[in-house]
Amino acid sequence: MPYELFLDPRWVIVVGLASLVYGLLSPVVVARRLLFLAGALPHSALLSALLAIIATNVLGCPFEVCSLVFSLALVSTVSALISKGVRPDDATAIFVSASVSLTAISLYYILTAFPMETSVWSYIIGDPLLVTWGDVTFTIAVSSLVFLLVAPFLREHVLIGVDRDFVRLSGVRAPVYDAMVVASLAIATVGLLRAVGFVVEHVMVLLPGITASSLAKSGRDAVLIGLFLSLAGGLSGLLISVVTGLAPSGVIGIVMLAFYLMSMLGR
Amino acid sequence: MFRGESFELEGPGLVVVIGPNGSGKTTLFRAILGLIPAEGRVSMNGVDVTGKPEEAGKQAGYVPQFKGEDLSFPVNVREIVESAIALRRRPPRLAFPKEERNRIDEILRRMGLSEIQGKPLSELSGGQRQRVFIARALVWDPPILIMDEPLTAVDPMGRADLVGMIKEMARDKLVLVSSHDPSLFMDGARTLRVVNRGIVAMGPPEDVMREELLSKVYGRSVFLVERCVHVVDGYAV
Repeated sequence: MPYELFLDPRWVIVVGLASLVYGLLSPVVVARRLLFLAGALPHSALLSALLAIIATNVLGCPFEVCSLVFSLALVSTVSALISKGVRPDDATAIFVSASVSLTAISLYYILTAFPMETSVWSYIIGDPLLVTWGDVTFTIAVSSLVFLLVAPFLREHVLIGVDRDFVRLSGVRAPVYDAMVVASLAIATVGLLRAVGFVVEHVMVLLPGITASSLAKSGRDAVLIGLFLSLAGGLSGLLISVVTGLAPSGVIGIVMLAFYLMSMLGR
Repeated sequence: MFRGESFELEGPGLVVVIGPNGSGKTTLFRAILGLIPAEGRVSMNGVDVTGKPEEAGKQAGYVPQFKGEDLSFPVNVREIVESAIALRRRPPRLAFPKEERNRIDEILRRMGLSEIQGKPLSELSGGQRQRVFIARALVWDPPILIMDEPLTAVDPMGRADLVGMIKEMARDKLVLVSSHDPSLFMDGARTLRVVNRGIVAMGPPEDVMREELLSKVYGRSVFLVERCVHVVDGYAV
């Protein structure tokens, strides 16, 4: 009997949209030299999700709203530290240290205090194969918001990283765009965490931009290549995971790493 | 750093700002452009631009000092020059109109950048990179040009070309240039300003380039050789 491959459209939509979101954000992260911060944001997203689980159980507030509020608050602390004169890498290191420590405490508390319908491991590994149509709707909403904050203003976002002074002299309010980038990263990491997981976020917010920057000869090409690599990596990783029975998040990460290594070999 | 200073500059002409590292050359330029907070008042062509970089940017073109920043993101020459136009237009930005494309092409041609307009900044030499930022500053043909250490990371031949270009631009613009090596601009400069956490001296080069004055600023880096004053600076070598 011939083997039939089954791909649920929900899986394709969620992984596809998440890939496009990170494919758009990752080149901006590279251009703005935010790799360290972007790498730290999945940690804050995970902590935000765990704190939201606690808040949902104790206060009854909607999980999605709580997690977003916590995420924005946590990310704002990094911005506040930097504005007080702390070096960005130091602020991020402090932030990561605090986030992972509080994550361990929160995780232990949740596992011992609350009956969980969803395993907290899904936030780490991601369960795109278990997404519901509600998750798809939420993913569409998060992706649309991030696209609105980033896509029309790509030139500003990128050029602020290249020459912030010139952008200010051109009449652009750079702090507003800083807030938009940070908010987009926070929304993308916490909003998509339950669908694709911490592992995919860590990989996809960093590797597409790094790989694209090594291949492209223009900023425009870097963004387009980043989008293409992210989408190709996400969907091919999903397909491979379905065929092999391996965790989608891990396979997607390996595919993205393979793209990067191929780009290095091609130099 | 600059307290109680007041001065007026009129163009066209070349004004050279010299001083050792940490003396405030960049701070002075950034304060003039409104990029850092400053007390007092700055006006350009009668327009108050104090603390307003967007207003200063309409009056003056700025060529920043290259400090060896990470250029791993591959923005290319044309994109940098185009940004001078694109950033002043709000989204949605569709293709550049023909008139603007022609202006960009002309600037690239004048600065000798047409052949390399598709190259990322990271693949350019120091001199080529400076030409790109000069081209960007000239897109709107501003009456004032402020250039912070434009000769940094440029080889000697490139420096000679750039200095010639800067002196040419100073024929019809007010050009403010900071430099570690004042000797390159001496025969074109109208005014020399010496700073060391304040304005130490200002005037025609022949009045300012005196050993006793420069020694106060540069210490033992000043030499008198055959009645000519030289400032030996590690960055200039």
